[in-house]
Amino acid sequence: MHPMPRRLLSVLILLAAPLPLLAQNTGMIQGKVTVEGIGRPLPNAQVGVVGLPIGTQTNEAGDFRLTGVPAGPRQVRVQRLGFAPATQAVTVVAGQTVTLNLSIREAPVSLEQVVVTATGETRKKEISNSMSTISAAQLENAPVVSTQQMLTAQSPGVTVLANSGQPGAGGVIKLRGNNSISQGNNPIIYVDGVRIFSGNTPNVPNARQNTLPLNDIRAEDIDRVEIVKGAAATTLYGTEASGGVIQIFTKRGQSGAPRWTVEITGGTNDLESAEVHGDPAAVWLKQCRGPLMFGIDITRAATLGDEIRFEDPTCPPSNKWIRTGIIQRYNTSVAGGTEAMQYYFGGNLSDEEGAIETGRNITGGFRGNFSFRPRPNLEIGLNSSYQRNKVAWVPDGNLANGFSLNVMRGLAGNYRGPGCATGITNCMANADALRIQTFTRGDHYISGLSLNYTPIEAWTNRLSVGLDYVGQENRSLIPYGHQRSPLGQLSHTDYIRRFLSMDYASTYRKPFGAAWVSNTSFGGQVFQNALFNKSVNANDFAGPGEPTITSAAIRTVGTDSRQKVVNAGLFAQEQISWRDRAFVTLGVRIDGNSAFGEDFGLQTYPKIGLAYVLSDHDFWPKAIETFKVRGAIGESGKAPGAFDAVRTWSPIAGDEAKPGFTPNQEGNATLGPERTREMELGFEASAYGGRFAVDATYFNTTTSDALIGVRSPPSQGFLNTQLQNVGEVNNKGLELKLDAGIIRSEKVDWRGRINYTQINSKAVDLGGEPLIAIGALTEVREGYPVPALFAPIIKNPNEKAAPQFDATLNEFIGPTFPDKITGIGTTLTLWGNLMLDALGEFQYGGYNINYIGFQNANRGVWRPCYDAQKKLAAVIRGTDPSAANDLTALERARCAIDRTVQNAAWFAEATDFFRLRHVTLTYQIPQRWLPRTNGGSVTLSGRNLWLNTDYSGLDPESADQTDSEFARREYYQLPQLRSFSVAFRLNW
Amino acid sequence: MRLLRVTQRAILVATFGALTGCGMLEVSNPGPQSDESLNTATAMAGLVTGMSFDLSRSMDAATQETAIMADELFHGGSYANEIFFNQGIIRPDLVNGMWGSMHRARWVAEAGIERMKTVLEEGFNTNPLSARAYIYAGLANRILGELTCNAVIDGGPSEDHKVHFARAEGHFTEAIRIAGGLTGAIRDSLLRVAHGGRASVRAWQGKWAEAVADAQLVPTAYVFSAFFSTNTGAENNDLVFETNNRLEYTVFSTQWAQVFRDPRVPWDTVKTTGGAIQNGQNGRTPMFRQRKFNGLGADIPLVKGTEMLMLRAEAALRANDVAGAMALINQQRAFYSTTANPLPPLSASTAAEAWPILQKERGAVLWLENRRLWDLRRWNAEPPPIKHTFLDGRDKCIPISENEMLSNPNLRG
Repeated sequence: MHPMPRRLLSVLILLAAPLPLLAQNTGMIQGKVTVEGIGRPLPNAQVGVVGLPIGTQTNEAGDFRLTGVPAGPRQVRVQRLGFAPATQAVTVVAGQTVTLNLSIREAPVSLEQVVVTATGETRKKEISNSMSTISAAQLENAPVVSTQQMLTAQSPGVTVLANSGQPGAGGVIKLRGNNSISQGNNPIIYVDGVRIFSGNTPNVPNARQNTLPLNDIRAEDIDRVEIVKGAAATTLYGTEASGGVIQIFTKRGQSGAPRWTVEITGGTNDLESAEVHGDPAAVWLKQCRGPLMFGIDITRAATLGDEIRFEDPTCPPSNKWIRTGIIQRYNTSVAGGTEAMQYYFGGNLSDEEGAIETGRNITGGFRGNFSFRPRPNLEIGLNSSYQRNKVAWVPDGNLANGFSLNVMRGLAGNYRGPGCATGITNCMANADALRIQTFTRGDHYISGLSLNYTPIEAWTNRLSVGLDYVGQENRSLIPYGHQRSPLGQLSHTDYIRRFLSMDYASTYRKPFGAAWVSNTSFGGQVFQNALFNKSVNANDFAGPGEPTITSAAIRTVGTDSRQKVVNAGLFAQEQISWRDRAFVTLGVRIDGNSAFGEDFGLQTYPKIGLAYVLSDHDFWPKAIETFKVRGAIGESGKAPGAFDAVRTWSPIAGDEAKPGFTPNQEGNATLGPERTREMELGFEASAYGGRFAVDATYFNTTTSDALIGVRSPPSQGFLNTQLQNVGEVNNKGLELKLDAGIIRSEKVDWRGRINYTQINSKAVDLGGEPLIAIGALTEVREGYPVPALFAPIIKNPNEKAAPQFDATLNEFIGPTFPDKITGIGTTLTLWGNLMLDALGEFQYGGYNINYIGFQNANRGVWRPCYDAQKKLAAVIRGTDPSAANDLTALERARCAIDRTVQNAAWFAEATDFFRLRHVTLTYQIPQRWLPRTNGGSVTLSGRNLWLNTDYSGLDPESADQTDSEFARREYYQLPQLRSFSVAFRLNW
Repeated sequence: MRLLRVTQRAILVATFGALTGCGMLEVSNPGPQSDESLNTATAMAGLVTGMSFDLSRSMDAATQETAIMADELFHGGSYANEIFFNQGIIRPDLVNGMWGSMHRARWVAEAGIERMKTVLEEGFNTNPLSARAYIYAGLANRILGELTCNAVIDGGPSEDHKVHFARAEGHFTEAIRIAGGLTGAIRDSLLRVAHGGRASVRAWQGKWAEAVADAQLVPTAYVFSAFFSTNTGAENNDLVFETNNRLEYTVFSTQWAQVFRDPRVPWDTVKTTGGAIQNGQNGRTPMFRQRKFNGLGADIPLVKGTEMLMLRAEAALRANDVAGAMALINQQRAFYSTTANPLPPLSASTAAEAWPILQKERGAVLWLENRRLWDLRRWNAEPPPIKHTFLDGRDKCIPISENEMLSNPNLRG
């Protein structure tokens, strides 16, 4: 070994170990933390000595121990998210242990809570906009494994839609709806100060789904998530921030002996709860043999309306395509440190099978978080994580060779085979679809270095440098000899997304007299977003075996992108506070971006805000211990695409592989970012010792200069739309969070919480464009929600008559995304060690298109239409002219045999639903039962246990990922998995 | 203090290194070509290849859709627009893609010619690329003139669709002028396609004698095609994918489903493993598979000698020369006739007998070559015996697309 690394290692070991030498003039503090008023022990509370880098966390029994505390009078502070911090004095005697029991008050609204903003750490009471915090401690027993699940139904203003029930599939996350029509609405995401990629990876060929790299941040490593929702709050984050900001903070070590945690989880995934109203076979997912294997002939005159039977000899012996998939998860972590250095190591391994034979997600990784304090005024943090994934996908969605599409289409599927009973002409072989091998292999590496330097108490400086690397390989093989591609096909994509970021923020605090304090901040950010994406397709192999791209006779390059975009900005902020109860904040951000047009220049975003803690006044009633009003107006932006401003031609091959050019993009030298201005008003209050808490916010957001793809006349040669800053979009809404302690006693502690979000969006101006087509029946039109479904409608849906409609007239159906979301959660703790937690979610106001119903009805394989189609056939054949008299116009349209009547529009419908997201039951195992440990827990969990909806498809949350960034439709996706699990956690 | 200084310097070094050494301020987007970079003589070959590419793309889009509109293929799949084409409904909102690709092909060629004149200066008139550019401009205009109901040039107002024929004739004439100054095989090739192209657009303007003069300069075996290739997906002949792979379009239910063993109209049936005829993508329409184009790289003819024979036959018939017309028709049949699939001579003694023969024969020669809709349209507008009735009660041409109407200020309101 080289001498230098050895010395370095020695230093690290010394730093990491508790230092007995320091104990000569020190003592120890130990004790228990309980919840005020009910006496319940409080685990996971942070306990520290004020002014010293000494701290720890309470164990499952609420116990803590602080070692190496210098002798003398000390202040011990205890805090935990959801509780009001408490401080108590104690005198430490050298070489002795002092016992200190503390209790802290529940405070769902805690103004002393420290949160992180663009200028650094600040107390929540000083912030003039809403900020939600989700604590991992609140969710540690919930069946939550991904960040996406962690954000679901936990905070108002947050919309999370899962797109598919495939393990590993990513979903959609939006904060306060859609501000941008063309540039996506993903929030930007920071992990420990490092900006990471917040979008989805490319669609996987032959899977029609993709992944969300955000989910590589493992829930067990997360300490808390802070959600900053609107432009008024994200001004200092600049261009890109109009979709909001999510800050994730991972766990850190505390000084003291190493604390280990091991968690083992086993469980199952299934789709037994999948349901189509009126179809017990759930489009043959739940039955692939037996009496339900038939469709209706809606084609041939002689047998019109007759039942046509079919068989599938490849149906599994269980007589259903769905199975029970096995879940295995293993997590471990260790945290500890000294005064000078703290560490947290975490490792995870998860193997999750889906409900269809080939679906599986295996992921594993580790995290190491270190913080050094070489001097009292300097802290250096190094946080790194690595996660590796391998997803085996089921061919899903709108895929002619896919599994879902063909199984769900019954006798109209594309897979045919031998082996059926004599006389059956429709002999299927859908298991062939599962021979398509589609994998995603991903590597996700995040590393950040942060320096917090406080040269004098009034002046803080923070510098962060970070790297986020997402590397993914998507590979799909249709093997040689496959029924649908006899010579075989291979698709391969290499995708790399790399973010480099550097942030600096500095704040100087200066009091003026007894009442006034000035906080002056400035800083800047540089951010580079690099994308490398290559895809290759290969067709026609000479024979069987495992091929490579070069094994194929025909090889075509699909994509080769190598883009780098840079955004740089500076900000300045001045905050004046009065008597620590009123805070006025003024700020400005100035941005440049390489995506701006040549003639555009820089963009400036201002903000102003006021926070006033009325409850700090003497006149305020004591029963309402916390009451803060706040208001803010601010702007942020969204940059155009990497090179949308430039007039370009696309290189192509023509004339039998000769190089050439074709028009690509017209260009716009004055192209700039969208500017989103938001006005936000709200209040936060808690009463009766934290028993009741309210956090309410009204917001009104207007995006001007909205980037709209404007079409030039096609006769001028450029067919692609060109982005222009011509639009205006408005979003306004209400966010409400209620938290109540329903029963509070030492033996029974029952809390309930409700989150409510209402978002009304409207396209105010489309710059002269009459409409913007987004996807299937999905458009943006002036005066309507963004986006919305527009389609022909049945004028007389409930009348027992022929349907009346105008197929050429698209009328407003409803918004694509739900505009009202209510999350309802409750936690019941009995005897301090048995906890029942449940979370449900209503989403209403949204619309989707059930393309399964549409496509199947057109083929006579949609069971809810069988009776109607038999009656319609009887009318056509003349065997019973009055057979259809009892059918409504909507039934006649949906189940039409006449092709001129068939239309996907008849299946555009409301997706209102309630879903029981999870129920968990946790028992804290007493420490005495687990000698030489800090206790443990056993948790029984169920996820996606119940769905209540009138939507006629399989799952109102499903979406073909190709469209789901903005438009949605359900097109043969697998629905959400139901999961059951048992987890055992041990701490020592 | 020393540690503080070291830390401060480390921060400065790290900042500088990250911003410069790691290329943090570097911006790049290799791939797309800036517009200015095409203003060089060396870019002209690529520009002309692009004209050819865009012409092939317009043929790719139009051939599939007009085949359904003109009874060459029947839609047996799940695409939405083609359901209407089967019924003879051609609405502006259904033809955005086809309209756009046809106009891009025209604009790229015509704007490219102007760029070439600027860049090549005097050399423009002696460069074979210039003749090719005029040919692509002529063919793009011919396609537009044949298929569209109205012409729109570069965002201008609506005009008579025959404006395209006049522009095409001008472009072909320029191509002939430049090619005439060249030597060697390229001269002959360019002249044949230019004369062949000009022959048809002259005929459609009623200049039948001049058309025949041009047509006579094209050998029977000559074929000039829109290129397709398996080199990249964008170069594929997608009609082949739709008929052979996806089973979206079928010969079933067209007049050609009654034509057997004709080498000009080859089709077969697709069978399931159980031996039944495979249905198309909609699950219920029998799949009769076209076999004229059998690979994704199959080219689609744009100008060919046998078409010229049929044009000359039509000119003869319009001049009431039934015998002359039948001789040319039979010359064409003999060219395609094989031992396995013979095409015996046909006979007619009157114009009334000859016109249906000519109309069907022209349809067979040009099957799936994006010409049938125009032929049916122009014959539909004539009195008997020329009158062809298939388009009665059906839309006959491609209307100005919805995208054009919404984006073109000369067409709004």
